[in-house]
Amino acid sequence: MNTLIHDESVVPLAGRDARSSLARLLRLHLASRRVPAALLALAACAPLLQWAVRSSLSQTSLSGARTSAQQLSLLLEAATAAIVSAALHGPFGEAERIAGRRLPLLRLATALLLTVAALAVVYVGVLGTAMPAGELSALRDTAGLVGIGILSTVLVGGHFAWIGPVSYWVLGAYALTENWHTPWTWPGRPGGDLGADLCASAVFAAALLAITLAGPGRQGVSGS
Amino acid sequence: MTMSDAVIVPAGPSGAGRPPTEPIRILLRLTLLELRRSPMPLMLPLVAALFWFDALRTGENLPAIWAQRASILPNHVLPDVGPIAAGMAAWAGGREQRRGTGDLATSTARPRWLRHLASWGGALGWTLLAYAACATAIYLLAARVVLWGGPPVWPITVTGMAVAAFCTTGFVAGVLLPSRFTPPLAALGTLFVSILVFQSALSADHGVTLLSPNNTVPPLDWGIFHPVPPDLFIVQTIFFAGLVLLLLGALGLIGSGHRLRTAIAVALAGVAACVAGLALASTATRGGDGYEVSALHDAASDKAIAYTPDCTQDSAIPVCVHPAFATDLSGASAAFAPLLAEVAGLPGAPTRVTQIDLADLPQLTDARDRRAYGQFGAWSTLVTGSNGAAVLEYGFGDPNAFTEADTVGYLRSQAAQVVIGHVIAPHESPDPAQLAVELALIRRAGATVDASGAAPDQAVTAAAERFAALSPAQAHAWLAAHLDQLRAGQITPQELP
Repeated sequence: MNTLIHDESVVPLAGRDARSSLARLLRLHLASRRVPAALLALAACAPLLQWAVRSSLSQTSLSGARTSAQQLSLLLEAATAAIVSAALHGPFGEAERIAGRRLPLLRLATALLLTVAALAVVYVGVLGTAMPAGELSALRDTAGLVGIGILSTVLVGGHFAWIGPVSYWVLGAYALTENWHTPWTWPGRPGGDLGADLCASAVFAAALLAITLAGPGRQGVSGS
Repeated sequence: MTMSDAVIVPAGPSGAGRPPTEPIRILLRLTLLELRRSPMPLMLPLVAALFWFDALRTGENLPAIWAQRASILPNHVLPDVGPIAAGMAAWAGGREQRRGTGDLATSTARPRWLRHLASWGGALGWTLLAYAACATAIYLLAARVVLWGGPPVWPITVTGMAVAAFCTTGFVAGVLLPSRFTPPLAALGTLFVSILVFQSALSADHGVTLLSPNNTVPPLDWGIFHPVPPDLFIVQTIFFAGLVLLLLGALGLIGSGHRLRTAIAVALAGVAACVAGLALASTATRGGDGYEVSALHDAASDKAIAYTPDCTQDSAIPVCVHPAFATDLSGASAAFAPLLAEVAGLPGAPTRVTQIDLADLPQLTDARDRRAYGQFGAWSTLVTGSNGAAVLEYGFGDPNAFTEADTVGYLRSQAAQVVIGHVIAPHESPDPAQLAVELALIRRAGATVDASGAAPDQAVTAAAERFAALSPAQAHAWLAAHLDQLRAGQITPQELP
């Protein structure tokens, strides 16, 4: 593999060759992270989200319907976050850490690409559904959940990172039914709430920083 | 011991001479290996944290009634444990593909289905252990505070079967679609389906959605006056057991050709159980104390549960509660005391106030009554006892009925209207004098008057105000002396003191 050879005589590529090489590296990195499959899985969440929110809101009991819609919406947002975090798992382990080129940049690009896809999917999923907390709140919740998922990837590895969004869903669903108002349980806050926006953004920013600098955690379990 | 120790069997001519229990012994050894190597123990702290945060804290705030506390299992423990079990089982199911050991394992002596069963057994074992710990904690904490009755077993069984179904679904998904995305999608997918069915079941009184174990938040007095029929629990258990068998059988069908007939038999048994469960659930109807399935219902189980009520000892008219609600006795006594003080000793006054099953209260035909009942969840009615004496019966579905001022006020006012009406004008609509006394007594009992009817005329209002201004002893003495005349319509509002 050429990228593993450290030869002082190799002349750095310039111009179009360098860009082409970088694009190829990015494409291979995305392929190794199963990003196409992740995008397909994310895309499936949009119609599911539309249907789930609309069917919940059509229930006769209004207060129950609002909470149900929010809980189901949060669950599918957690699903998108879990998909993003699973996709960030690196299959090459130590070899890639030692010999890989521009890994922090590639990790950041992958995380950003998948996050944008998740946000787009959720926005399409809640568009026109008259979500009780507003459509923008769904984007905020998703960004925060993706942040939790990415942080879980950094801490426990991509294979088990889904436990972060799943656990936060339990917390968020509890906050919705118990009317918790702390900004750290942002799903319980309305759209445009500054405290909730800041908390979700802070988690997402910390997650991006962590995945860029530290990368996904090594799998704690040998895969048994 | 290594995996090869457990899998490789001594070579021999077609296994002749091996005891018939040999495959089971090997399966058990493999399962023990899987239990040791399962990643599930790493998830136990997370399961414990979720259980503490969601199920345990919610459970501690529920009324100290067994049915209420047991409802935590399907409504909270299942969503806490089930998705994680499904995700981890999916991870375990995708192992051969993930580790690239499919071909290697195929060359071993055990069929693929048996290997999968062992792996599934390992995941399920840890899952059920976690679930059992959660259920034990819920029941132990409940046993410390519940005053009456015994722990129900069916919610434990049904929720356990549902957790096993979550786990099996995740495992089969992991085997069929081995991918890094399968565990999260199995976890969240099972949760998604569970919530959707829960929502449908909450607004349904019958139908197949009742197969969901978390199909209701039980009314406060379920299982107190009458046993909760086990019908629907049995149906749910049949269905989830069938689902597990169906999934495991399907796993055998798609594997290698070994033991194909066994796999087909298991799958068919699963299909039969699922179909039976669906068919039975479609006939389920909501009764007063739970769901009934006509094909399974035992009429003998409808028999009321015998109990000795807890009653106040220091009042002329005793107020009683079911012993399960013994802590509400002082509240109930305080709610009815002002009314009972006004009518005690008068002909037609209740000789006893007693709590009954909400399901036994009369059907409310008036829309206003139904609205009020829906708002306060409490009702009272006056009945004639077996000895001809009047008895005030009441029921409540709100665990805080006697600590919330609105509910106490409503219950007191509603009881005052039926009791005072029965004492003053038992047979017909009240005349002006009777109406004045009724209004005065209702006011003196701390109750509010139903303002929906026509306003009384000035003479009645003035007489009521005069009578209400009397001291309790004066009013009671006048009523004791003149009640017969008042009931006979021989007194005018002007003649009232």
